Amino acid sequence: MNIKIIEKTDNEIRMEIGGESHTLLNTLKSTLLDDPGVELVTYDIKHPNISEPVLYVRTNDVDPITAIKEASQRLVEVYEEFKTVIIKETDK
Amino acid sequence: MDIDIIELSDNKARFIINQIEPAIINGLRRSMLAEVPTMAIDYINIYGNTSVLFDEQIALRVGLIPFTTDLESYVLPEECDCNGEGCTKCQVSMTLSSKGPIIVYSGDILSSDPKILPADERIPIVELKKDEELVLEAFAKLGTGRKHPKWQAGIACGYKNLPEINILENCDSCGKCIGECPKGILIMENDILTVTDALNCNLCNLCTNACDIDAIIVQGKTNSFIFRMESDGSYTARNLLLEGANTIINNAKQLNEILTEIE
Amino acid sequence: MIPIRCFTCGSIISSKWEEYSKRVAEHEDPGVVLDDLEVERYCCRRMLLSHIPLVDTFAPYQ
Repeated sequence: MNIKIIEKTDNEIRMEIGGESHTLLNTLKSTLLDDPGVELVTYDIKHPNISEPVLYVRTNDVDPITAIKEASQRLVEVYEEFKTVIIKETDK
Repeated sequence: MDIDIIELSDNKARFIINQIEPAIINGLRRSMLAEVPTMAIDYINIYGNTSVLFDEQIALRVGLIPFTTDLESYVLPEECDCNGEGCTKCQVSMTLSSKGPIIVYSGDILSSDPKILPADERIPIVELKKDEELVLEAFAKLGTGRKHPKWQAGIACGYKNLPEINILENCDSCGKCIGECPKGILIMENDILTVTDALNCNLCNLCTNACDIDAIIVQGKTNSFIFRMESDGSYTARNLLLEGANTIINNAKQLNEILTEIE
Repeated sequence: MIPIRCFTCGSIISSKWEEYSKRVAEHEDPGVVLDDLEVERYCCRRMLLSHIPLVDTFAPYQ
């Protein structure tokens, strides 16, 4: 994964997340939208062969990078919860 | 988030999962198909091949064989200290040597690591006639389905909305909907319309369209899904579900680390 | 030789070929044999149903 920040202001960020696909980006978008401070999230993958995915986040009064970090953390937590539930149900 | 297991075996799993966002369950599906690393043969030296198949055909067949995978002991070649040149941390060496008349099976492959073995021993590689020979040396490496389908761990992983079929009180038991159902899950029992197996409903709504008085309602329960998956043998079904989640967890943690460094 | 995996879904169907072809040669209905071998999706079923083994045709020319 290599990250390149294309543009950043106080409440906007456009960053390129190389080496990833919808698997990470769509799930990250979903957890970003859970944050009331996040106003807009989109990601674009022009074509996997010619460019890397670009994530765009616009926030209200929240630092966008902090918002993305917190969303990644929520993503980790939701899948950890899934693992816990699977382990509990399959060990019966 | 809760789960009801419908079916679970070494290679297959089907369960109902509630209170999960569609994006999250889709991420899991994509991860199990294309992002969980598995072992597959990636490099072979053919020392002798007088069989009816060309070298490249043998190489393709041998590459597609699924191997049991041990993520604790091996790393992806791109992430290895040897830079992908090949060392004991990123590859497993194997040999295959046979002389006809015999059918060469995947179970004849001899692996240097007793934990990395063909997941199915009865895969026929090639049929050798009398005096035909096949001698090769192979190296198995970790890879993901995104690079080549031989590394695809999950098979037919998919989910659908959990169907909820409600038969209202004004149903007059006319039975018109019963013939319309393509799955045959509606029956008349003691003059009362009953659903035999709601899980098999495919939400086609042919029954609701057939009903003149709107007495049957079919809808998918929000954020509830029936998930089905199979494993090709590289992991057990249960472990593949866990590894599918782990792969996304690791990616999210890596993203977090990189963003912390940038600041 | 029977392809190792189903082209569409990737499930391993090659290990089922021997039993399938033996039973069909004994005049069992292919549909029933496929059901017994637990080949459920039609993408996998067509791999076994429409495979023609050419190994024996090519063998004399080696």
